[in-house]
Amino acid sequence: MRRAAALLLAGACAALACGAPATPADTARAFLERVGRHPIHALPLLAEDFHARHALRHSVPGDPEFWSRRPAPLPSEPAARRRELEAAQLGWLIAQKGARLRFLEPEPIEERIEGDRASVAFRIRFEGAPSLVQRFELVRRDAGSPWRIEAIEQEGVVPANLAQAFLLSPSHELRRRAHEWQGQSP
Amino acid sequence: MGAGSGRTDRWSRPVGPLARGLLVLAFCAQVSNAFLLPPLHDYDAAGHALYAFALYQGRMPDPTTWGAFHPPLYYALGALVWRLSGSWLPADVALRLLSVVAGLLAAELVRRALRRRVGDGDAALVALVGYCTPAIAIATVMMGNEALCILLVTAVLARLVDLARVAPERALRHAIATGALAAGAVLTKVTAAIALPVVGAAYLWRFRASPRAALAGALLATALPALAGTLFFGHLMRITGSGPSVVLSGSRLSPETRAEMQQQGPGVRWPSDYVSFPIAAIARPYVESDGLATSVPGLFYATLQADAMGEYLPAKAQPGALRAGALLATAGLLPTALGALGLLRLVRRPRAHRWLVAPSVYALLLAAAFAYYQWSFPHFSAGKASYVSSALLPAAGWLALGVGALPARAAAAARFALLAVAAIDVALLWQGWWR
Repeated sequence: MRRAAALLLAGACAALACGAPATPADTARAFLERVGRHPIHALPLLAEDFHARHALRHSVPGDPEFWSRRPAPLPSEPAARRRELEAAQLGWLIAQKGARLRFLEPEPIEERIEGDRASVAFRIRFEGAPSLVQRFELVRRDAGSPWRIEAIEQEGVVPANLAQAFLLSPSHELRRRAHEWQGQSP
Repeated sequence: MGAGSGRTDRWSRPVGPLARGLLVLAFCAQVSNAFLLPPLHDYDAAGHALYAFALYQGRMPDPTTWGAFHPPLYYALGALVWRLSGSWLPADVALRLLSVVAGLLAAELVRRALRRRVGDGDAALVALVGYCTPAIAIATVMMGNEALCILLVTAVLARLVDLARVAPERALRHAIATGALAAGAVLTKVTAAIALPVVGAAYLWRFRASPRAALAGALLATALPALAGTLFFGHLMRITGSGPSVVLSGSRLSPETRAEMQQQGPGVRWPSDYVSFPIAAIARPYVESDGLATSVPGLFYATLQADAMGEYLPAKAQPGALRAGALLATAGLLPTALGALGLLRLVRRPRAHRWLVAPSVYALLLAAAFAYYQWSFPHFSAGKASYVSSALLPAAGWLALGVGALPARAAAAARFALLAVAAIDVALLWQGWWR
């Protein structure tokens, strides 16, 4: 009985210790693996400030503020910040309802680490659509803390890969671009 | 003789083993559905996920976030499973598997609670049919607190079924365990609080010959859950400055939920909504079908025996899913009719089936609360039958009584037909066909 309990405890500790990706590139790759299939599982990889940039919120048809929405920094007052952060996380998740993204093995093309900040880029290829480059800005609190994604930039987004680009990094800006380009709605 | 007597005819003997085998198959299908259901296709998925994520990070969610009005037990377990499963099991699948396991355990509790009353075969059969009923099957594969609520309320009601066999000197110990389970249920979902007066009354009635044991039993079985519920909802009222009706309903607390509900029909209820039953509830069980959103019993039936919300089966995208829904709803007529027959039998002779009275009172109180909810929230998503899914045990009991009311040959035929209904449910609800 004691042995079983010890094994269980060791397993739990191992799971806790092995859970987080170790390097900025691992973190970015884990995000790519999760975002198009299991977006909820990608949440722990994201820094709070990430959610200040995508400007996605829950919205209903006919929302008058829908197209005028812009990214805005999270408030500094703790309660308001938590409220705004969770509204942004909610919007980010809802935008990915039913997401099923397929892409070929992402190719790492850049990794720079400067202290507690890092930049990583991957070229991502799709079948039947032009490739794009997704650049991640990552931060960590200190050397012992896990890397978290603070911002994502995309290069090479064109109408033909817009749907894929949206699933790789959902944002209100891509929604607006789709609306302007083709009346598409990712 | 059939259900209700504990004996079955020779034709019905294979029913028990077949039901148990089908239950294993249904469970395997549910595990695979947890992986195959597309991301966030669970009811209120983002809200449930964010609640679990907040606890995963070691804090409570903002009280006005979508779903934060729910008590925390399911989300705490979800956060724990999320932590322990690390990176090898996606968090959404882990949260769903929690529901899958809770669903199977609830079905097993139903089987165990009923086998002494209706026989092994019929107990296994009605547990299977309950488990495979679309509303239950869908609730027990999606992330959310519904399945854990079904499990814990079933555990409480199963103890009430057994109460007649408890000696007065064991009343206190029995009541303490019941109270602990009821507290877990109340800390999972507010609807479980409806069980508390039933639990208290059941102990008072059972031990009425010994008033001290009766009172102590009733108090011990209800004090802890009442305290747990008061503390949680009192805390929510304090930090949001809202009244009990806002906090208990929850959906008025979050601006996002309010906005979502406001755009859903019908928007206003009329007494006639409670008696209309459009044929679409069976022929085209989808919320956008004519007259369905305005009919309380129609929408209830279409979400009980099919997937009228179109979240689980892709009704909007695939005509095949609508046909599957019609088949599910048609097949569901048999267990519904037999369940109604069983309820009628119970109402006519409650003393003959005393063991089922307390669970049935819970089910009827829950149904009354559901009817009121339709009036105060006249929006179609409030009409889902999954809101009353914690009445699994009494519904299974009515079904067993209904089968037992039939003549022997008809009962045998009904048992095999019910097995076929469960098989149809498992097959059509398997996500492998639809994704």
